[in-house]
Amino acid sequence: MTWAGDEDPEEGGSRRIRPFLGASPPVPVPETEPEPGAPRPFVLTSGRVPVAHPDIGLETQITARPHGYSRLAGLPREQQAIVAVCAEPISVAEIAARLHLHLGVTKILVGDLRAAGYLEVHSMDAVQPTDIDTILRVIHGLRALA
Amino acid sequence: MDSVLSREQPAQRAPVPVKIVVAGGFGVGKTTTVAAISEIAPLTTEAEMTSAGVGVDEPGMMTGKTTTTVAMDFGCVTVDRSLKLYLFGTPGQSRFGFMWDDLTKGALGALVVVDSSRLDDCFPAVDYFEQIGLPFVVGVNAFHGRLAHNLQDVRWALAIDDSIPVVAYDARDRLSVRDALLAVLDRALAKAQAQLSGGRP
Repeated sequence: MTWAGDEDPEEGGSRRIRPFLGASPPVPVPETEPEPGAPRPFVLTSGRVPVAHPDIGLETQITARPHGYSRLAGLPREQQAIVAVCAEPISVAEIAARLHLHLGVTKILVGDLRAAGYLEVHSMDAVQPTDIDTILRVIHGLRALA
Repeated sequence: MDSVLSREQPAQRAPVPVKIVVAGGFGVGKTTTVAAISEIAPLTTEAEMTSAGVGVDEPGMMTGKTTTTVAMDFGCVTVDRSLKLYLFGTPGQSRFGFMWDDLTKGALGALVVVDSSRLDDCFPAVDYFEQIGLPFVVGVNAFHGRLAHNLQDVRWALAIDDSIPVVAYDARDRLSVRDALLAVLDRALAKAQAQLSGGRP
């Protein structure tokens, strides 16, 4: 399956080729067959590319804004479903997995829904991975597992 | 899309998410590892990935690009009321371009799962984590407590720095996985403390 478009997602942002990619020939990977009748993933986003929002990561927590529920009727089906699963805090990856959407599509739609006021993206809550207090909390929490 | 909602609403609180990456080649036990400790049955998220086509670039001609769907299994552990640990397994394919940037961005560290009978499968992951300076531990998935090689042999074969732990663990056992993750967190802590004191991580 080839992807035609003017934008090359690998050119967006500051992406560089990983050094080891140049070291040996690319390994052929099996292509997955799209389900018959299922829309191609980027049809849902009108062909937009997930160069997207750097603050919407896999684990970023999303919640639905309460007042959005009364305004869902005008949204496309997939977007209504996204708002519905965000009733409790949920990560972007979980949204994608539970709704069987591709990750890139999910990031774009979450970004759209945030811009329209339906979702809260809790990106400012993300901690620095070198935050010592957080690391210690995780260590203590795991040690407490029985 | 037009904005239809007022922004003057109190935001619902959400837990702070942190993540550890579980890496390694096909079939070494990444998903088993995640499943052993995750509160939820592992979920799978799929991502579209663009990879360079095989062949020679010719001037004036577009490079052939193909899109591939890669799948990642993941799970989570609630650390406390306001902190959730996500465990993301890497796609089985070893060449995956920029997807690894998304996976590893902001991660606490990584567990590189190794099957002692197929050590080379983990080389791309070890190389990558060393290059980006992400704390990691090599975890030899030991079946029924037996290893094909002892841990020193694994260390030598992988040619990794002495500071990187090589541990044996059982991917099916919750507490064993927990201990392997604690080893990763120890490395993360060491790096954070070194940076705080101004030393080289």
